[in-house]
Amino acid sequence: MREWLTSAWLRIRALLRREQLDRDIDDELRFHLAMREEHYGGSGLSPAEAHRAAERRFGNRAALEEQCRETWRFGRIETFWQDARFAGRLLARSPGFTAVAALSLALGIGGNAAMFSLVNAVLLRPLPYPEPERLVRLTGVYPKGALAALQEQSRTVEIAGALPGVELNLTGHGEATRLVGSAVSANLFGVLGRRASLGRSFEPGDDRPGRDRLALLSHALWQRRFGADPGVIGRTIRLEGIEREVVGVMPPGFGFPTEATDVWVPLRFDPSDSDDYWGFGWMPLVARVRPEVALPRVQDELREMIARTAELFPWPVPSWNADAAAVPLQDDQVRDVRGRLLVLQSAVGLVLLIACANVASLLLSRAAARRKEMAVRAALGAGRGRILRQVLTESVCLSLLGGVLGLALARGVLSVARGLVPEGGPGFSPVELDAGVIAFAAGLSVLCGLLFGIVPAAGASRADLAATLRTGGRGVAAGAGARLRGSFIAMEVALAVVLTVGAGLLMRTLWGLSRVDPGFRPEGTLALRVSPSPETCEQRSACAAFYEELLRRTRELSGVGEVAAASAIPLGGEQPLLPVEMDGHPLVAAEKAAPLLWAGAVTPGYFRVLDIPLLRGRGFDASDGETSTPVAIVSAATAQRYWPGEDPLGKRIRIVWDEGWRTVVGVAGDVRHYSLSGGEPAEISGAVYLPHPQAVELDRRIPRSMALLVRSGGSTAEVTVALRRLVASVNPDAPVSDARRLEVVVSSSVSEPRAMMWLFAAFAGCALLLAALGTYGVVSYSTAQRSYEIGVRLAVGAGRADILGLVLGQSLKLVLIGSALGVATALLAGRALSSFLFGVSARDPATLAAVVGLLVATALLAGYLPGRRAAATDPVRALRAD
Amino acid sequence: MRDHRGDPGELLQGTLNMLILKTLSHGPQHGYAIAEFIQGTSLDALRVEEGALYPALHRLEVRGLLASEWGVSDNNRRAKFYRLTAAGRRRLAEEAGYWARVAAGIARIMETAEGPRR
Repeated sequence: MREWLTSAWLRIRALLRREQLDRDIDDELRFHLAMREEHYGGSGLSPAEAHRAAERRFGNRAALEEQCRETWRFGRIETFWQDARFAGRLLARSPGFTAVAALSLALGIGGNAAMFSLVNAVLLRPLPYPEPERLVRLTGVYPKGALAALQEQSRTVEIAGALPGVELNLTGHGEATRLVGSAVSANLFGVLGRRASLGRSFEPGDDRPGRDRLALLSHALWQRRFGADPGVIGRTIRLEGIEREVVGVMPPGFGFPTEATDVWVPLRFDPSDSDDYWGFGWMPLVARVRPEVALPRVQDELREMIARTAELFPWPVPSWNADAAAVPLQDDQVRDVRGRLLVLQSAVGLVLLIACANVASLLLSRAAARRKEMAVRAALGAGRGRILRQVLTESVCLSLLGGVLGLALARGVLSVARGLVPEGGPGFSPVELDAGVIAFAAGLSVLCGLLFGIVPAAGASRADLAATLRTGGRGVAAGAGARLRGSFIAMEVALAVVLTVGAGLLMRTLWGLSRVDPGFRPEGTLALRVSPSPETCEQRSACAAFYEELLRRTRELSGVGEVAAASAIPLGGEQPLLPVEMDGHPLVAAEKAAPLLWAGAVTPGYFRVLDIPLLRGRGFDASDGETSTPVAIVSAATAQRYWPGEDPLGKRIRIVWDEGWRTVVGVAGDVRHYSLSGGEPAEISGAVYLPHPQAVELDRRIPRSMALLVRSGGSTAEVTVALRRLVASVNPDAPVSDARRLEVVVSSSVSEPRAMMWLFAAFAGCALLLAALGTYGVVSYSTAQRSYEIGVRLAVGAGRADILGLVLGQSLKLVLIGSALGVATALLAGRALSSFLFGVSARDPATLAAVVGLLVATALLAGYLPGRRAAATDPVRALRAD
Repeated sequence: MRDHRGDPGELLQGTLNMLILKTLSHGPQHGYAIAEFIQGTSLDALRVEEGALYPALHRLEVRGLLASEWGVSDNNRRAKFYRLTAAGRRRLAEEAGYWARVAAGIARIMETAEGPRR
């Protein structure tokens, strides 16, 4: 220990007096030589002979000096620092090379860092609950009765339910507000393992009738509406016309089942109301696996419990949740995003691979030019390992420089990439460049530096000393090195083809989506959601009258054209579903469940406002009131599905709990209610429209919250303000929310494919740029190497055009080989992308041809510049130079 | 670097360190004199290569077993003189004792006429 301290101190002292040390070593060895020389002189040799003899006996003085110096150093760290400084000087001396290489790497590393921060936030980071690995989602949907039955039966898990999207009016505290709420079983917070930060969360028993008039606030709502007043606990607030006592405030960042949830209320478990208990509030369940229980046991138990619980329903439910499963909660929540993120992460990985290949081939060219330097180093006694280490240090430094630039770039990429992740998924951590991502980028940089440095480094350390020094470092560079560089370029081109094909297919997809006829005309229409209080809609006629009055007064506003109201807007995300029986398709209870129809409640102007064509029969009008003959309009596809070849007019539809039938009076054009790509959920069998005064929702009441659809030339803000004022004057307890232009609704329905397309296009652009730079670099380098040959060709009569052709041919050959490989890979890899495509096949020949064309054009461009330079060679000079 | 293998009189590093320490126990000396002393005293049986001597001197110095200062040699040249430190003296004593035991052991093996019993 003492020895170690002494030696550390001596080394530090030597470090501070480095020059002195170098001089001392030099002097010491010189003295030794002089003494030896004197000794030989004394034994009768001439002074010159004595000098030579002494030198001979002494051996490699430079190496010896280095060895002595080495003794005083702090081993590897100092060697690395020395190498790094040398590398820095070297890079600074060739700014062009450094810039191209560092930018190439910045593109690759930056893209990867950005994607990684998304993947990290969405796929890797655990959910913000204690022991998140024990949380599972029970897939399928469960009414309250089933939830209670499962809670009672299960031995392996503790089960909780949360009904999402329960919108609630908060009244009595300033302006009436529409809140996003969730009705939850009282044990939800226990299952998730999160407590209130103020007051208490719900406790077992809070969901029994008579004790359930409670509310729990989100931190955001507490701050926004209650001024973060701790005194809110115990106060009574009015939600949906029901007085509820505030029992607590949840901590910031807690959001379940969605991040946007403002308020939680207890589910009401009342077995005596069997329609409500078994028929209402179909929700997914979340559960915490009990300690020491494995997932397969949960699966088995769940299957048994489902079978047993199905018997408890007051009506037959033959196929209810037949394929329900327990899946880890985290997997369930990222299901939709995972595929997209993984495809993009692989794409950006390819970009990095291209960047590495590019830099490797640049380094190879440089290594050829630096052969002499390496040979001199070796001659001066640098070992093979030492040279290898130095060359690798250089490439790692370069790569770290690229990494720093890349992180800056990543911030830009992230702003686009965020659009990929659904807003406000539960428990998603914010996406940002945090320490983890920076560490990832640093690790990636070092790895890349080693990856693209190893080939040139191995070459350099293997250099044939004598041959290199004899030829002065020229001439020996060709051969294997050139072939290696060529194959790097072909690989780059192949990868660039794969990425560009992907980008092309996604562009075709987006183009296809933009040309889809959604079945309605969104332009110039504004939608606002109006949600009158439950009292207003207690009576069906009062509710209908409220909307009639509202629409009448809206028409009187200046600058407003057609006006209508609907319970759901196309592509807006709402799903007004009803189970029905269709004429001629009797429900045989034991065999199949009733078909579910998308059932929108609309007012008479609806089809005109949205320009939805009426193909047969009539639209709704003022005569379709509460008491007149029940009527319905079906979509063309629905009519075709249930009554092919028959006249749909006069056919009848019955909602399963109704006695009476509704008569079809019209057929409307098909509308894309769910998505532009037409991907409708399989369980939904069609679409039907009901006149608002006759319409019902799943709770069997008249739809209360409706979207006001207004055609208007005015700005969104102006119209919204005017309408808010108007609604308040008709009914002060009816909050207005979600003011959106329908164009925006349509375009944000494709925001995910759009973000994916832009990212892919950006990656492909980078890949093309890198491949072009790489091709240019290799072709111009090899052209420079061949200047003698070109001189000879020109001297024996080749034309300038021949030379240009020669160089272009070389560039074209690389790109064509690469393209062929790339097309083959793209055909194989296309399947990974096919689920993201719409209206285009993953093997679309037009896209493939366009991409190959693009690369050939790039190759010609990359070959033209060095080709022109070569063609301008002065043969006399070229022949003299070598 | 030159290949020293098979060179007669080549010294193992540990042994060289010990010989340097022993040489310097007679008083401060520069590198050349140390090499000459070892070679001369061993009657040319041991030859010290410069390539081994100087790294060894510097290693011993870094470890605090030797100290050095610049002085003037017999023929009036500036030379770096090494001397033993207290730690160096202790190390020499340890190594000398160890060496004596090993040498005696080796000598006994070499001088015994009988081989191991079968």
